[in-house]
Amino acid sequence: MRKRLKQAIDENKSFENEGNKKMRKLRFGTLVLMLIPFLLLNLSAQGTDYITGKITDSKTGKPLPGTNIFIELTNYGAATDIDGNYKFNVGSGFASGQTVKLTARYIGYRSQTQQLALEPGATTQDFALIEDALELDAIVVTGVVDETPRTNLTISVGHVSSEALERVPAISVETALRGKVAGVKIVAGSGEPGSSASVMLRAPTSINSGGRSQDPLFIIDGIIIDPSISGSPLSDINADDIESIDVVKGAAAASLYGSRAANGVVNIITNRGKRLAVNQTKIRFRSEFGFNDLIKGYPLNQSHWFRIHEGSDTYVDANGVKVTPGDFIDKTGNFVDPREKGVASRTGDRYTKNYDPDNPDAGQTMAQIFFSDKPYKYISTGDITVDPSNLKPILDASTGQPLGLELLPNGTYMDNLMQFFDPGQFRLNTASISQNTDVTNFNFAISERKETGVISGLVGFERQTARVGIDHSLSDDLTVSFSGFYSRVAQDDISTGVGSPFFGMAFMGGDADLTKKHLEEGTITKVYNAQTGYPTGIPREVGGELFILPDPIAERTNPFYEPQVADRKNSRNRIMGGLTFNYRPFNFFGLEGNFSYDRSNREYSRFFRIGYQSAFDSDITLGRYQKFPEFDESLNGSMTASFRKAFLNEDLIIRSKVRGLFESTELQTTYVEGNDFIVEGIKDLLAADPKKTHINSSMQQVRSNGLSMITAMTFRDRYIFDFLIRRDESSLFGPDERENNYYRLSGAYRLSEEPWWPMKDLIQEFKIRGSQGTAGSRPNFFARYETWAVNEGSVAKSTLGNKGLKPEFVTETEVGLDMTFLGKFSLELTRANSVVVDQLLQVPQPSYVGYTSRWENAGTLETSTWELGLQGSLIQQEDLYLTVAFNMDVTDQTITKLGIPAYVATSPATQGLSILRIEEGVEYGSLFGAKYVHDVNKLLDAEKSVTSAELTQFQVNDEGLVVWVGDGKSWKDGISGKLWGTQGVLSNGETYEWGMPVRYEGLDQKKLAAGDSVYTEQFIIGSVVPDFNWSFSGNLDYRNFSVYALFDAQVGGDVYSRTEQWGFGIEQRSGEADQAGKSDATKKPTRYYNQSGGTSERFIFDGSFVKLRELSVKYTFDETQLRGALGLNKLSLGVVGRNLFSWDNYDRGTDPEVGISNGSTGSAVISKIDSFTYPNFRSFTGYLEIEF
Amino acid sequence: MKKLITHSLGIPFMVVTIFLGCQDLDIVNQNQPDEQRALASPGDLESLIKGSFLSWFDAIQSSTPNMSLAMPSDTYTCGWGNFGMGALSTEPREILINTSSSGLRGVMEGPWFGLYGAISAATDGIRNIEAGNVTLGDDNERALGFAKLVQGLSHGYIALMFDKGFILDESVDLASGILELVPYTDVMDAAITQLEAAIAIFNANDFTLPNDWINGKAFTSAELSQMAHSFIARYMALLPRDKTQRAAVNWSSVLTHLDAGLTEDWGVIGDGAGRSSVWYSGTHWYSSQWNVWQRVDYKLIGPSDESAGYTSWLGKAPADRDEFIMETGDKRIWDGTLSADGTQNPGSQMLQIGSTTFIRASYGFSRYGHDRFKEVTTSNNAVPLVLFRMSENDFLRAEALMHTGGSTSTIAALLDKTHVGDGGYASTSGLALGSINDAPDPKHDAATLWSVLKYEKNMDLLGTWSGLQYWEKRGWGDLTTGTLIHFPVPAADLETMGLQLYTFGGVGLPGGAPKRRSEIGEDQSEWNLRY
Repeated sequence: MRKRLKQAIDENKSFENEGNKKMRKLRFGTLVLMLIPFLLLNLSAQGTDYITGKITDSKTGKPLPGTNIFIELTNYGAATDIDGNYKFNVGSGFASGQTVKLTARYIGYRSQTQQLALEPGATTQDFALIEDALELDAIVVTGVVDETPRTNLTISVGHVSSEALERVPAISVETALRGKVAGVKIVAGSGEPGSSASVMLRAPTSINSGGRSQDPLFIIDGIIIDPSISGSPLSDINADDIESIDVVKGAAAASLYGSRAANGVVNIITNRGKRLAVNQTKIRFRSEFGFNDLIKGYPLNQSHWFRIHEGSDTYVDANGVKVTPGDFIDKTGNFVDPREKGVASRTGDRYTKNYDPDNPDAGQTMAQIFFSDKPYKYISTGDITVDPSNLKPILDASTGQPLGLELLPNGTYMDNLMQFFDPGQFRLNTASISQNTDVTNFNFAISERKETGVISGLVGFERQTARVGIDHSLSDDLTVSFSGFYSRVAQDDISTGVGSPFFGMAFMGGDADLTKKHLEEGTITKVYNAQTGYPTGIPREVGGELFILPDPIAERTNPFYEPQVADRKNSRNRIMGGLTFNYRPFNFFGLEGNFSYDRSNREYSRFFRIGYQSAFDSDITLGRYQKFPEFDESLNGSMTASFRKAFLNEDLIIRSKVRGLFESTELQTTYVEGNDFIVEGIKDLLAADPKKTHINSSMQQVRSNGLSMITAMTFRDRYIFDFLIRRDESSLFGPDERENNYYRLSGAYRLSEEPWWPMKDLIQEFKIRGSQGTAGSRPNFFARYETWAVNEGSVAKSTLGNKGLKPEFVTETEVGLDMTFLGKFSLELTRANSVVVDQLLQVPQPSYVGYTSRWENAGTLETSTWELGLQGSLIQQEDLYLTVAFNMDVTDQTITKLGIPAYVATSPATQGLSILRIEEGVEYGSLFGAKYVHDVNKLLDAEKSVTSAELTQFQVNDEGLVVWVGDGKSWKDGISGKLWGTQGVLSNGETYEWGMPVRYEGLDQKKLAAGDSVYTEQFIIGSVVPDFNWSFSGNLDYRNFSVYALFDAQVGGDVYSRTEQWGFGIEQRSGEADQAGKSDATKKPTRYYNQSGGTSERFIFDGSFVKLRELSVKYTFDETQLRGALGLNKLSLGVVGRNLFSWDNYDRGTDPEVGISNGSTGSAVISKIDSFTYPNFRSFTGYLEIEF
Repeated sequence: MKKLITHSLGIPFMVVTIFLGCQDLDIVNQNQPDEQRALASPGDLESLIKGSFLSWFDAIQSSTPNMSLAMPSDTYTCGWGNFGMGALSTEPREILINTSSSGLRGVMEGPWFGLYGAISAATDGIRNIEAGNVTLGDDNERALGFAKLVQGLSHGYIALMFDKGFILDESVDLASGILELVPYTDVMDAAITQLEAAIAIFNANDFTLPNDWINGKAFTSAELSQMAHSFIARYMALLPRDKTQRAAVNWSSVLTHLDAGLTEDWGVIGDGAGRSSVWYSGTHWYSSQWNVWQRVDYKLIGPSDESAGYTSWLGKAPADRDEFIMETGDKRIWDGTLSADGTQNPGSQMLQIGSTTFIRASYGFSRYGHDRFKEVTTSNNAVPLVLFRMSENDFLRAEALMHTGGSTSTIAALLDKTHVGDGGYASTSGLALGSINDAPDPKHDAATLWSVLKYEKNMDLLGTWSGLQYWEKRGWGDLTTGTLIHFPVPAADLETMGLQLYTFGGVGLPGGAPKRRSEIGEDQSEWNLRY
């Protein structure tokens, strides 16, 4: 051996001498050392000594095929065959009568270790395993040195087992995770099929995630996917491929992943056929099919405030039009259609009899005192034909009314929501084949999924995937593993937010038929001119096509138009591959080399044909074609040397790993756009006007190296200590801060393993643990560079660089206890505090410097979380099995230091809504805006206070808002006393409008003098941070029936509705503004709502909810029932409902679970803003699962 | 076999891994250069100076502040609230919220940061030239003069729009500390000094600019000198915050600069890229898109109304005003194309159009659209964007004469060019001079030369240059009560420098908003009738 070692060292020297000078530069000297043992030839040899036996269920006696059995701290082991039998050889000379620990491990059962004397020849050992309903011995592989049972963890790692995943088939990673692990926050900000939910582990780590994400690092079969670079992978993955998921929530656990781990790590492990019995082959099909439905709609104003003929008579107006009750009229009584331009001046059309500016009552001077309480009569897109000679409508000879009028069906209103939303379908088919032999195990799976969503006119989301995972033993000590994945996705690219179809939909009046088309078929027939309302080049409506402005009063484009006429698509292909060599020449020493590749090609394409209509973009009507191809490509490689050995008479076990790794990522984006096409229907940019062709491109490269060492020590299986260090260097760090170090120290004490533990019957497992760890969050690519913008042949300063930029640095301390009690329950309680310093903040520069901003390390975010996980295995009988799980978490998150001026973060897709307050000492997630007075007495404390005597002039109205009513008046007297529109001036000099809510406003001179930059008209008015979250799930198996239900809930925390805020604006489309059916005492005029148009507490809503997320019922025909029919081993039939019910107080939108995932907050968990998004919906599916 | 496998697979695998582990972490940003790369060559330095002019142009001609300022000047009206158009023209006028989260922050931040970006670039250019970092040879003076021009143009606009500003030039050492804010008058003094420095360079040299420095035309040094003179005249006239200051302008100096100023319309040529244009002007682009964007405000054209419509409209509280059809003798307005029976006809610049589709406050409704720049949209912004019309020279000259006791017949002749030529009115010859207090009025029954000047100048130059009508009406004392007379330094910059926030605007509120009623002793009803 010594000779071979020397030879190897010599070989290595000569290798170096041959001129690979780069080797000397290596900061990974350790890797070189790793090479030495790797080059050693295997010293072990095959032997004929073996162990054999059978493994069964302790209750039923049934064999447990696929059980892993191995000798502790050695490479010797095997899996059981279909009959539960196993047999494996040990190395020659290994069996010498010594005592070894033989462990059997099977998912869903407690691991069992038996000591036996290993004699040469055959040794027999049987096992009868006990069910592990509480998953105490589930194996965790993430953030730890090696495969570790949960009972031996020093840190909190959430684990979603294959069993949990099998109970109800997950359709996405998100559904696989939801409700399974305490502290995992998932917010599906958009229901758009194929969109990824925001995932946050415990708490946010970044105040400004611009160009990054608050999502965790995802690892799939060892392939690292950073959502900051390649986007969230969640929607690319077929959840059916997943075998288990580890969730490493904070730095106290995730330090192993260094500067990318501040947000935690989600490690997804896919099926590889490992769990099968030896020599078993399994073929599996699953087909799921169902439909979607909106959880609920949201109310729109179905009334209007235009003048109508309110009498019961019929008369002929000055234009010869027969006017009937309910018709729109002008103030002289002539028939008008406010929706057809140019018919008549609409002077006066807006007024109802409640307030008439031509005959105002004394003191009424305010605008917008209209009452939206009139029903619509006609469909607005009546296509009234106008005589161009006199601009009067052409009359229908039989009715005497203008041609083209169409009555609303049954005198009701159009349900815009249900016109726009169309319950779609869901389809998922998967097939897989897996096999496990002595030397090879593999799984090959393909899937196809189609989901049409709930929007009329859209295709939805289509995805095909293929995945392969193979492990092959080239010899007893050398294994090679390969993982491969390919997915292809095509989906719609419907726009959301302000200006999108959802925006348009929210503004359509109750008389707008979104499906209505112009009468004429064929070419452009209607070009408005100066006479009829519009000049050339402004919206042209095409015969036979949808009306662009079905409700022209709303000035919003028909929401149907874009989905039906524009061709907007996203497509992407993703290919991932990973190759791992595992070489374990000694029982105590092994090497692992890993190399992985991830490439994602994405293309967003948008095609607007010649003649495409846009109400507001006249430049698009001659056609536009946009393409945004982009790709990212990542290479990761690592080399790991591992060590494990028992000492002190096997009381002390030490396991250690040293790993060096590199990462290299490239992201390239291109943008091309052509306008003004000369040929119809051509998607060739050469056919566009060269002057109106735009191109842009961008490239990012990221390279990083890391070196880590982790050691775990276990003494007598109850004192556990864990230590790790990591050094990271990355091109994303400024050159002056290129290297950053991280560490973790953790320990656990299993008191229940002590001989003196007095409560073994009551508390079977009791462990306390503590960990302190650090991790980082890297800057975005552009942050550290000084940049000058190059545009149109000129250059100008852009951002000031920072050579000292370093990652955000989080230190997390976690303590907890894990216990099982009464033999039926397990409890995990964790308290985690984290301090994230060196926040990456974009610091504005003074204007005269020329550079707009500079990324700097400033600010501190401190968070703390309580997590509770409680599981109960209430019934464990052969035919009846009931388990329940309850998770809960509470999080505090405060900006304890900012270092830059306070600001309010602006959210994308909201047209500049700034509402999230970033200020020292303030909870991160605080909402900022105007505040109303709810208590009359508060007026005495206001800066512009009223006198005590004047308090009687104020009352609290039916909405709980303080309003001014004047002496001796009631808030109910507005209409009866003709008080709306009047005003009064009080002793403080302020003018108060009658009946209007009073808000805290005005500049606070005292605060300004103190240098506080806050206007007092802006206050902290809410917070998105929930008081706590909880989830509850139950699984009941009765014979072959299985029922699973999952509830999850958010308690407290606010939602801000930009949608509702806009609905309070000039169009008054919010359902709140609908006054129909109200008494005169409680009716409010349009101005009452419009006055609240700014960012204010009126648009803050309770975000609490309890949701029935999943309900699944399954029946499984087992082998005995199938009796070999069609060669089937198993057949399951089931139905699943997802997002079935929501109990909440949010009546202004479809779902309080809403948010914006991009922008500076980087997560929908923080930006809980409802802004014209694709609504979440529920689905009902049925499925069939068969196995051969 | 094992050796074979180990060596054939394992070793190469590891070597590749380690090789890639030796990766260089000094990644160069290939998207944007840093200063060293951006200014490495003489051509780069010229690009910097050239780009500073585009920065100036973009900072003021984009939707902010161009469209933002057009609405509170009550010359254009718009149904939408974008770019502060709604909030700044609300009646009664409201206080401007100057916080870094205000929805109106862009109105201030766009020009403020844009102009200081232009000044910074021009100053960097001069510094690099003076330090000899690069040599431009024969083009040295061209670059220096152009950079000085940009410094002056940019500081001048800061002084027009904001109450305070910084003064930055190549003599300032930024490394030694932060700059102090100084009053707008000081900023304008510096601007004029810089423009005069540019003129001195232009006059001392003979060169021609490449035609993409000021897009569309290769200006000679002599033409640049004229342009600088005209801008000094314009800036001097537009700087005053009230009519007293306006009267106190050194009008003889204005005349001197006009004499040395432009002799033909000046501007840039739009780059033909439609909405994606870089050489682009907000009001030029949107003025003819009057279905949802800009229409003409009655307060501009109403004085020409010969029916009772405008008087009636003014007589109502703003909230009760609504659109109406005028009867006008101004040939620039109408083309409702009624027949030759004595009713309205031509409409060379402004068309009577369909009802307002937008439903924001009814006092913003109008049945009139500005048709003068329609080629801008129909050509995808490939036509000249005239930013300094020769008639502006005439109007400035006329006003200078009015303030300095000049000949009324000369004034009348200057006004008649548009008044008679475009408006179709009779000559103003013989009209009384009137005073700066006169309301705009083109009709001769009660008009004065002052009232015609106010009407004609804003009619003819409508939308020409960013904020022009706003600054004019400010100096004439004609802004609607409560309109802020200038803007505060944006909150974002105040916060950055740790300074206290402040703001302006709002009826009767402190902070610089004009208290028109108290100033001129008019009561509200009279004020409403007039404006």
